[in-house]
Amino acid sequence: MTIGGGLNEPRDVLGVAVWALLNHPQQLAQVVADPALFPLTFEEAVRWVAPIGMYPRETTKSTVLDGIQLPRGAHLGVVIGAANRDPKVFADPESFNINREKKPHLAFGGGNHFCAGTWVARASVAGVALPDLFRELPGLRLDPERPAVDAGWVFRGMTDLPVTWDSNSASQLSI
Amino acid sequence: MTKLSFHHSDGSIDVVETDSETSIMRAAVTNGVRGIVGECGGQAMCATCHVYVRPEYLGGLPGIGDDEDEMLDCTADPRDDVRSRLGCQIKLGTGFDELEVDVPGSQV
Ligand code: HEM
Ligand code: FES
Repeated sequence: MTIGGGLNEPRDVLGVAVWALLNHPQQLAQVVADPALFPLTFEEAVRWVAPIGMYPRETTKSTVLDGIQLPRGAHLGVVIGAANRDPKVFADPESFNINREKKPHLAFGGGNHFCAGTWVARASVAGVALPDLFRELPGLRLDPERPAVDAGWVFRGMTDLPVTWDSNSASQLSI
Repeated sequence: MTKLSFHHSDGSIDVVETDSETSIMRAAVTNGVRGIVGECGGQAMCATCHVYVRPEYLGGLPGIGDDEDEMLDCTADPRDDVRSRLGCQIKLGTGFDELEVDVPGSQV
């Protein structure tokens, strides 16, 4: 879990955050002008597309959950991807909006198994990867010829994210 | 019986009275106190149970552990060097029977 969580989910949130920002030029301009907004971008990206969309649970005793009677030993799929877009909690939940009212989301789970890597992910993606990417790749934009693809349900992220950028800058990268 | 008073920034107060030897966070969440979230269920891993303890009650509290200390650097509202605590790390029925805290404006 530590190895999988250490690699896949941060990668997925990074891809989704880049895709979302490139699709929302005003929000992109906002974060480029004020890198202190990268943490907000990160939280909104994990809310909007939870990198772990569903995790399994089993009831250890019979219980009633939100009016539903559950027997002991029932297998449950906790769909945090849906919870994070609950219209009773988030206004206009389907939109990516870093300026939305700050609310707790469930992308890192909750309770005893709350993600052990939450702060590692925040530091590495919001503190390092996102700001570095937009600094090192000036003019980063979606490739108009090839559409980006997001996919997955249990694990969700970008499976294809073709981009281009301006190479005539001082900081060229060879990829 | 422990009496907990949660002071909100709009001036309202939630009072919780309980016999349970639970934590401040758990007492707040079970009783629907606004502004205390407790995302990690009390493991000192999320800092969404941050409270500012009123100075007159600081004396009766247990000390701040290493995990709590580190997590207090991650609170959404600024840490107060003296008054900030994690609600989940303070158990009831341990040295005080009344406590008043200010609830931060934001936890996330
Ligand atoms: C944006 C990035 C990440 C997301 C969205 C995420 C999400 C989650 C979720 C939803 C759970 C709870 C699963 C359950 O309750 O069954 C979890 C658990 C866990 N995560 Fe993450 N994770 C991320 C990054 C990381 C990183 C970087 C690490 C390690 C360096 C990590 C390590 C773990 C571990 C060890 C657990 C199990 C905790 C336990 O069962 O007590 N995660 N994660
Ligand atoms: S409930 Fe998460 S740190 Fe207290």
